Amino acid sequence: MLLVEDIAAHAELFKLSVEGWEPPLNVEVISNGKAAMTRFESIATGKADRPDLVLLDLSLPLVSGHDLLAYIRATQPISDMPVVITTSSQDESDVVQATDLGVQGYLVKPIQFSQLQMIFGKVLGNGV
Amino acid sequence: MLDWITKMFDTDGFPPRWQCGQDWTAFLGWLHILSDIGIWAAYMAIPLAMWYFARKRPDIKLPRVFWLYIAFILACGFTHLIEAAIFYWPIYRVSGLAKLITAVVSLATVFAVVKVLPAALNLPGLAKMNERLKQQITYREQAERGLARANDTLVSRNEELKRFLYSVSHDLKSPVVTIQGFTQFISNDLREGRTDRLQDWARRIEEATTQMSASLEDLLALGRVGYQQAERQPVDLNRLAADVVQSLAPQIEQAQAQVTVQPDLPRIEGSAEQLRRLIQNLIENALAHGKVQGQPLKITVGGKRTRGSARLWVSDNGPGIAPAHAERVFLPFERLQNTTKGSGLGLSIVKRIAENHGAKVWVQDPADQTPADQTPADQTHADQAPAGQDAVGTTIVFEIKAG
Repeated sequence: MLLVEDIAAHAELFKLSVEGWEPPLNVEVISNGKAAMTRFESIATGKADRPDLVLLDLSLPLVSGHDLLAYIRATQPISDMPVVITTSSQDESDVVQATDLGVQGYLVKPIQFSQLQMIFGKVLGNGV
Repeated sequence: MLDWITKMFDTDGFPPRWQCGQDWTAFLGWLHILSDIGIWAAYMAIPLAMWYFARKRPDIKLPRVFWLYIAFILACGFTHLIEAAIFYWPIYRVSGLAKLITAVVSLATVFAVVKVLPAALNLPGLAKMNERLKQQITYREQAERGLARANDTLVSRNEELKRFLYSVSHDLKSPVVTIQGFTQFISNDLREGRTDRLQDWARRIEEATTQMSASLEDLLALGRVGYQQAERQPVDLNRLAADVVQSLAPQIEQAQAQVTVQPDLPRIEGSAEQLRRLIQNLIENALAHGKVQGQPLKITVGGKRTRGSARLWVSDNGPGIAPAHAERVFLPFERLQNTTKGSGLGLSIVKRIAENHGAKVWVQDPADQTPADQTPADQTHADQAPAGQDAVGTTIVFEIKAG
């Protein structure tokens, strides 16, 4: 899976949370919106592997999470890629804006272990 | 009464004017008759025109002297008509009466005119009136523009506040999230009897706390700086810059940076307290973001007085800021790199201080070869170029109006 997260401590928290999962979850971290955009473009053109899930932080430097989500949903063939958003704000407009574009779930930081398992079970199903 | 009227029109004893005197020629006689009829016709036409005007423009309230004038001119007309008639019909008694009435009305008109004269003299002319109206319109327009400007400022302040609140909640929340997360790990580890990672978790929590405390401190500083117009005291930038560099000595040493303050910084007017913070934040910004691996960080504080303004700049030899992001660095909690260095508010405070001084602050475009110490019209000191020498570098320029 891809984790788009600009705050290193949060990315590490996430990685530590899923450490030891069975089967192991392969997490790749992209730390800013611009790099993430480049990656999604590569995935869309088949130059990079498509992840099973994208965990997307909404407030990112350079390119925001909303912009990235809009790009994914508007671009074939990655428009159906599963995206779960994470946010440290509980601002409803953020969540509404994201759910309007279609997300498979959202997690409010700090991410609770049980929440994480539930969402992953739902999104990845028996895929992993 | 009837007798009196009959008497008035009695012409006995008066010959018509043609027979009165020996030397009447046809020309002289008709000259009198036709001229008198002409005058009468004109004196009838004038009041008619005035009456027509009064009827068509009921919105204009006409003074009483206007009606008196109509009566006066009608009466005058009639005396001329009678003068013409007398050539054939010598009604000298009617003529006398008509002249008496004319005299009374005329004198009344004179009296009325003299009475309104002072007020009439004070009436503004049309041109003057127009001028006054134009002036009022200009004032009104100016006021409206001022209002629109104030409104725009309010709207943009509101937007800024919204963005700011969002950023604050996000940036203050982020270390809290980190602390909560690692606290969970600590309790999980303790539950499992693991102690090998505790030290590590504690260190993360400490880092997050430090970051949060820096953010809060700068938030308070931003609040203190406020939105007020800065006082105007003479400020010696040389002394301020030297003070700041001295107080930042530990951080400068830690970053292994070299900070140079050019001599002869301009004297400007402003708030010494705010300008001190401005210099401090600019240097701290360079310390936090100017470092390039394998190259010593060099920071220069420079300044120059130009015609009508004074400039102060801080430049470094770091990675530089792309022109596209040059505006964003002044937004609160806007970081261009993934770094937790600094509070994210330093340059916002710089911008606020500049605004409080009616001054400008901007990131020098690295492609712009005009050194910060020059205006494009004044390129005589190219040897003093402060930036663009090594690497791309960042130069942030503060420009204030100076007399």
